[in-house]
Amino acid sequence: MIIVENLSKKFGTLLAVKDLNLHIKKGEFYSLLGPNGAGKTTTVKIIAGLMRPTQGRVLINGYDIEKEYIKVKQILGFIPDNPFLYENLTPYEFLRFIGDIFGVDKDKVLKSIDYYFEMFNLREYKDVLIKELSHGTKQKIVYISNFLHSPLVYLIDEPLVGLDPFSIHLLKKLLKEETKKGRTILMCTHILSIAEELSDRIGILSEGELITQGSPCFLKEKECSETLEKLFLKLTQSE
Amino acid sequence: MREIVFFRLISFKNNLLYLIKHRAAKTWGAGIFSLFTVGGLYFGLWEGLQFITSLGGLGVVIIKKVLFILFFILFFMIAISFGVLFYGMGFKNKETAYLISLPIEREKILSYKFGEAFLFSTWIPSLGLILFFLSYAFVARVSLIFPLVASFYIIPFFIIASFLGYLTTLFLAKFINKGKILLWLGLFCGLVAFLYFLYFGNPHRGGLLFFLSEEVVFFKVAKLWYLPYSWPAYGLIHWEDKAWGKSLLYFLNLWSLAFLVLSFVPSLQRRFIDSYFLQFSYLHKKRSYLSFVEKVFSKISFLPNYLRSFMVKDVKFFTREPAFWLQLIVFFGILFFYFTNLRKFSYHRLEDVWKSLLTFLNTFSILCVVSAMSVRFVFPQWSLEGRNYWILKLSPIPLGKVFLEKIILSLGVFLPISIFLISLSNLMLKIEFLFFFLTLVIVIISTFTMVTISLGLGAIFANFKQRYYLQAVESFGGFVVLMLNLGYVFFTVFLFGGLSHFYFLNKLSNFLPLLKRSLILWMIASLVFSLAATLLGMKKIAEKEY
Ligand SMILES: Nc1ncnc2c1ncn2[C@@H]1O[C@H](COP(=O)(O)OP(=O)(O)O)[C@@H](O)[C@H]1O
Ligand SMILES: [Mg+2]
Repeated sequence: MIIVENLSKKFGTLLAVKDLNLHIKKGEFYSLLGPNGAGKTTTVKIIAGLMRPTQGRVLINGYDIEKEYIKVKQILGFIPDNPFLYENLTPYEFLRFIGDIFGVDKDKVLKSIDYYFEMFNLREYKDVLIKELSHGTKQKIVYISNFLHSPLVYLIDEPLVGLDPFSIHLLKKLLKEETKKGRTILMCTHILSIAEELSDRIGILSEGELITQGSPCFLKEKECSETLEKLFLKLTQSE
Repeated sequence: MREIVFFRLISFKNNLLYLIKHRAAKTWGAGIFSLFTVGGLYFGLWEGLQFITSLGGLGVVIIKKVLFILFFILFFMIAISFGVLFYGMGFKNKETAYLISLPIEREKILSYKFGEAFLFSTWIPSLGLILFFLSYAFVARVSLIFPLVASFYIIPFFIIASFLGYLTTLFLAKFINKGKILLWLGLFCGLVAFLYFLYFGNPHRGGLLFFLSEEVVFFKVAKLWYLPYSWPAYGLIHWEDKAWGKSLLYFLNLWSLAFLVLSFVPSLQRRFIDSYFLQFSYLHKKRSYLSFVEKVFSKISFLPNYLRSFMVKDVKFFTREPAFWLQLIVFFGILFFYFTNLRKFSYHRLEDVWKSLLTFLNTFSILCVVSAMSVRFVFPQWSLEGRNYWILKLSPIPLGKVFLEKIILSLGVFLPISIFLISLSNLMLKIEFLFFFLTLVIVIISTFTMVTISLGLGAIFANFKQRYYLQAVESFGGFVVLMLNLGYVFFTVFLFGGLSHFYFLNKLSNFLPLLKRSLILWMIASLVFSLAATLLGMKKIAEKEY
């Protein structure tokens, strides 16, 4: 579903991503782990088409992100690390805006909004300007805006920053359900427990290079580590 | 205080070094462009002044009037610029919260913010004024220290104007945060209108203002001697007439008021801090989701759904950002003065040459307003997507269409405004059909061109990492757009005004064919300009990274 080939990104002289290759299958939950500055955000931004790669290409559902980007965007969901939204709109207005630009049926949009607002306990914020909301609430709005147009591929950057335990629990459940429905998820994070709990496969990124990848169990066995944490420290510290 | 300024300078230096190192070609390009614009501006001013003085004695009178009007408009423009910048740098800036958390006296924070906004809001007008007085010194053959003298009159003038913006912002910030802005604004406008009619409503009333009431557009108000915006003009005119004593009087007036005003700046810290914190005590005011705006736009059913959705979003942004629409009110205030003065003007009694000059002077004023408005409101359209640019970039709508949406929306607002302004003023002056039609066409095409240029350049210069989007207007990009727009306006008015001027001086025999031909050529050039700006802007906006 997501194919990344020989991807490199240079910022001036800094090589933030080095010759990255990824093949993520349909319905797979893939986590990209790495210390701060490893190049995770850069990688997802390139896959989402927010940045241009210096080299290499990205295919999503067989579409080239550079050439057929409209088709790609129609099936892409993106959750950025910082939920910057239109501050002068209310969540309700913003979500209906998203529904309109993704061409989702009006009734369906309204139904989904009610459904998710109920689920996330957001009813009281429906008609309050987004600038008056907390970081976590904005993050929830971003999630809802993605669920609204049911993308085939989710790209998630630091999924749970600023969220309360209840929402974390809820989101984990929702994301897992999405993969069961055949949706593909690429998530990057530096929180190991979540990656271990949710992912089918994990890739470890350090200084822009993919050091290793595989299922959590496979990786632990391969590197003879009891926990993912030890494995992570071993791999990223020795660099 | 010294530390803050020091760190600001370091960050400026880092920025500059970064630009020179990594964007060498662009930095040089920008430098060369600036030099050319400055040169072009100087040349344009020189030509204009030359032309006016060539009119003889009356020309000198006109220049003096222009001086008054110039300072009058500048005063309010600087006050707006300052207000908007101070609002952005003071209230809407995370740096302020950080500074408040540091062991620095609040008075110092406020002075620093004042200084910062002062520099940013006055650098473009300073440049313009220096060039103006430089060319004036050459044309009028006054001594070359005249520009230097002028700058000593201008600095306190800037300080006073900034202080007006400062007071207004502090005052409004309180009400913006309390959500009662409209009520207070309504009361304020009502009061101003009441005073205005009390004062100027009856033109036959004699007294103090009677001797000032030369019935020239704007002039009456611009020349009120007891208001500080007229002081530099009085001072400089007296200086030129070698009335040193009177000139000195205005000079001292300006500086003493400036110092008085500056001493008030830090003492308003309580007001500032209160308003600053007020904005975080949120209102949680509910908005009804099917608002008026949406109802209006749902009527325009021939546009696709997503385009309307974008428009609704943009309009809501505008109406919910007081720092944005409050500026519009100032423009309408200026226009209100303009039209009330126009009403008293006896155009039909003039000779043809003067009629023609005034027709184009009026067109020029209106084009200037439109160009200033498009720099203030259209140019930042892209910047104010700001950090939300990722939403646009990820939407399955090509950015070209979003560009189109912004063009349609801006034109939908600006074309009616400019058509209304030119028609109304032409009707008031009772201009003949040919010139009515000509100026109408000129204004429509010019509005189209200026809006598209502003939007295109806005896309090119958009900086999605900027903390406060309205700062874009005062940045280098804003300067470029202002210069391009003004250059275009100057060129247009000189072209057609010149043609008709020579015609009425009986120096042109084949006026109509010549007019037709230049109109067509000018239209093509305008179209090429706006097309180029639009295509370039579309390309750049699609290439931007988030
Ligand atoms: N826009 C940018 N310009 C220059 N350097 C950048 C930019 N974005 C990221 N970098 C650099 O690229 C590297 C990778 O950053 P990022 O992908 O954000 O890391 P993370 O894995 O923490 O998300 C970092 O060294 C960062 O400084
Ligand atoms: Mg990151």
